[in-house]
Amino acid sequence: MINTNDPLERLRAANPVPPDLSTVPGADPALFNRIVSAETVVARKPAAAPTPRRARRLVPALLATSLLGGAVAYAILKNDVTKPHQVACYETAALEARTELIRADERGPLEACADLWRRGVLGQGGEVPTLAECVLDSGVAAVFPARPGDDVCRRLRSGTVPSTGPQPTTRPPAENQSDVNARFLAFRDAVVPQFLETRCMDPRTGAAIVRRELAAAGLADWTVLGGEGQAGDGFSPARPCATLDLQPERREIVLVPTPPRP
Amino acid sequence: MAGEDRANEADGDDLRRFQAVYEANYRAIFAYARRRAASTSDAQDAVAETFTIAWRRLAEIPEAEAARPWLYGVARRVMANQRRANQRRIDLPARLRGHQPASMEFEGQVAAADERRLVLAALGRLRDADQELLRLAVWEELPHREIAQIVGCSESSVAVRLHRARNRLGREIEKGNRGIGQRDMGGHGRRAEGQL
Repeated sequence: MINTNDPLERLRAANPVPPDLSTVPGADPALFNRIVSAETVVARKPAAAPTPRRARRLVPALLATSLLGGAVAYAILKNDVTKPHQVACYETAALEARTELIRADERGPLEACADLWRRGVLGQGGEVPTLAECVLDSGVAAVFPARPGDDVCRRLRSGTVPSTGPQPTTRPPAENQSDVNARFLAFRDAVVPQFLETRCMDPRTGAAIVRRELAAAGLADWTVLGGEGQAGDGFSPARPCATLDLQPERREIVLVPTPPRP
Repeated sequence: MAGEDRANEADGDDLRRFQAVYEANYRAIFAYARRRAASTSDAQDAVAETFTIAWRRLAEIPEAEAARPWLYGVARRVMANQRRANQRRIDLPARLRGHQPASMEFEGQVAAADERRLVLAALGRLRDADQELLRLAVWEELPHREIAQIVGCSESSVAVRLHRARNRLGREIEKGNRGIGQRDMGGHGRRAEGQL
């Protein structure tokens, strides 16, 4: 029986979640993995980028972008990085290799990609190979595994068959894959800035933008998921805005619900 | 290479430490969030955000048992931001007022639900600071020392503020009781008028 003269006792009895925590769900391993793996693409410290505001706005899209099997069909040039916020970490010394696109931070491209190797995101067993830094002609820094002293940038530029590093774990279909990848990159470069221009992208507007840019890039047959009022797509008053989850390996663009950015 | 080895080791240590903090505190933080959120999904969002911040600020988390109050403090700010972002007040009492339990077969259950609604509505009418103090003390069952750490005041101040908040809660519960009584009387009166 509750002592109704004691408001604290009455409050205790009204506790929506009893203090006995055995009734509460245990630690969610999936959430743990999401948190620590997300940190492979977001530095724990603020990135030392020349335009911090822009770098911050790039985070959501880069978080969601994983170019599995995405061959970047561009030449490798030893010129300046014009997109300092991104780094492409390749699993082998080949342009068609599996690639993780991450956000640049103060560690520099080599160390940032080495971190992915250590964590097993690239390669197997956490062993970090010797890495070489190149620049794609899209202006993105790219890091490849390479033998010490091997000028992997020059070799890839000349089209020589890669001879270093492990074999790719994911290879794209040979036929026209390079073209598809180039079109995907064009799509990505067109659509991401539009999502970053606004603090809160309306899901329907976002879906329309995605469809328009897919069509413009010749990828009209790709699937757009979420944002168009489908049941269970997760948009709610708490998460009314759309961010992008680009899944080129599945030919899908997913609009993911998110709260407005600060 | 020695430097790189040390860096690898540091990364591994960070991961292990975060895992320990996460596993030791997940239930408590989830319960904290669920007690304050309007829905389970809001609570899950708050938990995810809290631990994401914890991972980013791992070096700042106090050791051992002091980690939990630190996490409560983060969760408290996360939920405040969540409320602001939603541009609405998460009004648990209001939700509960609109909620009908699935099974109301027994009078005892009805009475318990009424009592709960009454108390939570009274809590909801208090100032935010009072609400939080009472929840931390009664629902999280935290000692004054930890509450002081979370809300950023002295232990003695916690004791005084809790005492006052307790009295205010008591008064609000009484107001609620009187309101129910008046509504009941008014309801009968209206029905009586309608029958004439």
